[in-house]
Amino acid sequence: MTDLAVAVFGATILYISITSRLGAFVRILALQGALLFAAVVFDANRPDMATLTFMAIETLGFKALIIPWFLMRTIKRNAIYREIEPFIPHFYSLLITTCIFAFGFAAAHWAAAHLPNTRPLHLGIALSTMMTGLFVIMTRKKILTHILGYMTLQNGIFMLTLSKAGEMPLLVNLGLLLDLFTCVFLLGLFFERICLITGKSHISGLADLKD
Amino acid sequence: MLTRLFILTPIPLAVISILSRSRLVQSLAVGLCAAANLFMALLIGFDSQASWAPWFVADPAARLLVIVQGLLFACVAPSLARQIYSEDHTGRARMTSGLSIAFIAAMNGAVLSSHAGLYWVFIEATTLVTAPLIFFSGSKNALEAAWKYLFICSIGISLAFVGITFLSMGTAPETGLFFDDLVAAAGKMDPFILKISFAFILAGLGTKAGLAPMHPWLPDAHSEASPAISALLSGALLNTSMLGIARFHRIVASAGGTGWSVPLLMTVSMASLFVTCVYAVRVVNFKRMLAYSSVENMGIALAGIAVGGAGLFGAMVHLAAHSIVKGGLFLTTAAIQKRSGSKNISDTRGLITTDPAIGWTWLILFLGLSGIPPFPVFFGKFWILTGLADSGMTLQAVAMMVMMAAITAGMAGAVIRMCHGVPLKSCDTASEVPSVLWVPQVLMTLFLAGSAFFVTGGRFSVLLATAAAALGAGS
Repeated sequence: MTDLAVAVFGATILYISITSRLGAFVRILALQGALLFAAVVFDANRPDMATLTFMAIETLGFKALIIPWFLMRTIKRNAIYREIEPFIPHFYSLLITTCIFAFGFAAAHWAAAHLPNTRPLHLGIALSTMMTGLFVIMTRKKILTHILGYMTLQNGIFMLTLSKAGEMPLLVNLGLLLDLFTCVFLLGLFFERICLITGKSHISGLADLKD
Repeated sequence: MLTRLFILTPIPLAVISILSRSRLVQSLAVGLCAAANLFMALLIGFDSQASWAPWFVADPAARLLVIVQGLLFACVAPSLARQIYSEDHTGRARMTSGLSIAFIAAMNGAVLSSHAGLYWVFIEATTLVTAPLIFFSGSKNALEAAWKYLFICSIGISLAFVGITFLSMGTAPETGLFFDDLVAAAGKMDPFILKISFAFILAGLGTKAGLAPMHPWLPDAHSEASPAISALLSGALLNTSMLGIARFHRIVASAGGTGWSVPLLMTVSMASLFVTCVYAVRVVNFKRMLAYSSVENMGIALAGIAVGGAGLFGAMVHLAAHSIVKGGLFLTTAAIQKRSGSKNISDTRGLITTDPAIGWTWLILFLGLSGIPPFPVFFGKFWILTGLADSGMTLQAVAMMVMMAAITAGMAGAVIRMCHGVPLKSCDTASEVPSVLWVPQVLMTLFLAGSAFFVTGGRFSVLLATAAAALGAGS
């Protein structure tokens, strides 16, 4: 069941690379949150009950519900629904993401020899997701898409932490979640302010400071 | 108990600041926090047993930076309190007082953290609390700077977390992520995983420390924030990230990885100096000039961290000295801006004529930043270059000296033009610059001029040496 959730999670990054609809992107992020919840709950190597409960709240509560709700609200408030002119056409994005996917698994297979306590499937998907998040940030013009790319990167990092046998202490996990939530919240607030002050929703509105 | 108080005291003060509607209460909270912070920092700084085990341990490097942060915040507090007291907008006053106190708490937490994951949490927290502070003026440029800072640093710090996760993968599950445990287990780590891990951590913390080529956010953020916040960002925040790099490099060095880590760190160090060389001579904004200087100085300190030994001692001296000098310079920009009404170098002339105290402070602090003896930056640079020479990197030492000379020459031209000449007609020479905008810097200049005694002998010198030793391989 865990492997199935991880595999479906991997498939979602291909959709992320081709969608121009920001609402669909957010729904995929919510789905990723739900799949991470499944990967945590159905994992054979379950952590202790306190950590498990915390991770369940983190994935289902925050990654699948609260953060997507906040992002969807930001989209609606600013009436920005599509990424119309990315730097790279969606077809080429799909090709590149496929290559990222292949590279992620090749790297995971290669690294598995050095990491005896790591699950290669989780590692491969995690690497692919993180690289896709960075790819989205680099190739899209809308500031809001950058926030969605950042969330993709964060989901990839969460998957990376699942790929290893030991887990972070609860205190550290709590801090991680608080930081992530605050960061997305702040990015959303700043984005709304950027739209208000510059009248633009893409990065060309943020190019005045230079030497 | 003292460490607990030190970490927890700012939290109620931050809450009071945010809840209160009184500017006076908010300003007093900042002042009280600075005074309490300095008092406890000095107690912790010279107490080798201070800890809140197992999460917070005041090792010598942490104690050194805690003292430096305490001194800097105490110097910044009058300017910050004035800024809060004279703010018309209640929300902004609340935000500035509450978040700047939270910033101090986050930095103290990061410096004292003995666990790599917890250190990361506090470093990210510093980003989150300072981003709104950069947006203080509410201008379009401040918004752009705050966005770049928040977004670039958050991605950078995320990469650092990837590195920490790889580090935990490369160790046995029972090892944990306490720095001392990681150093003890370093010999058993897989070298390949250690390389990947350190590369991610360097990219992440290097972004936060403003090292090239991950520095683009730094000139924007430091120039658009208010002078008091710029002083804290440049004087304290960068050190916290550099401490992280030094702690992780200690793990690499203990694993015998200096063969690849030193060239990596030296490349980043040289790139930081080169970037400053290119930009320091062409910037038109004096706050951006100081920001680029921070890129240079973090690059110089990184070279010391890379080579270890005398270089690491030099790096500790350099980080401590740079904090106070740069803090003083950024604070002085408030007085200069008040007089010239601009952040442009070309709009400021004859500072020494119009305001001798401000002009001379600006000039002398610049000399201190350049590494002119007897200022402590000189000793820092001297030992770093000695460390490079001891490690057989004479060529790199010469290249570094050439670039440092070029940067100093470029910046000196601007500083001298600002201090001398005839004041422009656009300058506001009628109004008085409040003493709170220049008196702390005069005291900082006097302190720095006499600090050669602290660096070359006494208890503070011992602390510097033990801090360097604690961050060295095998300690």
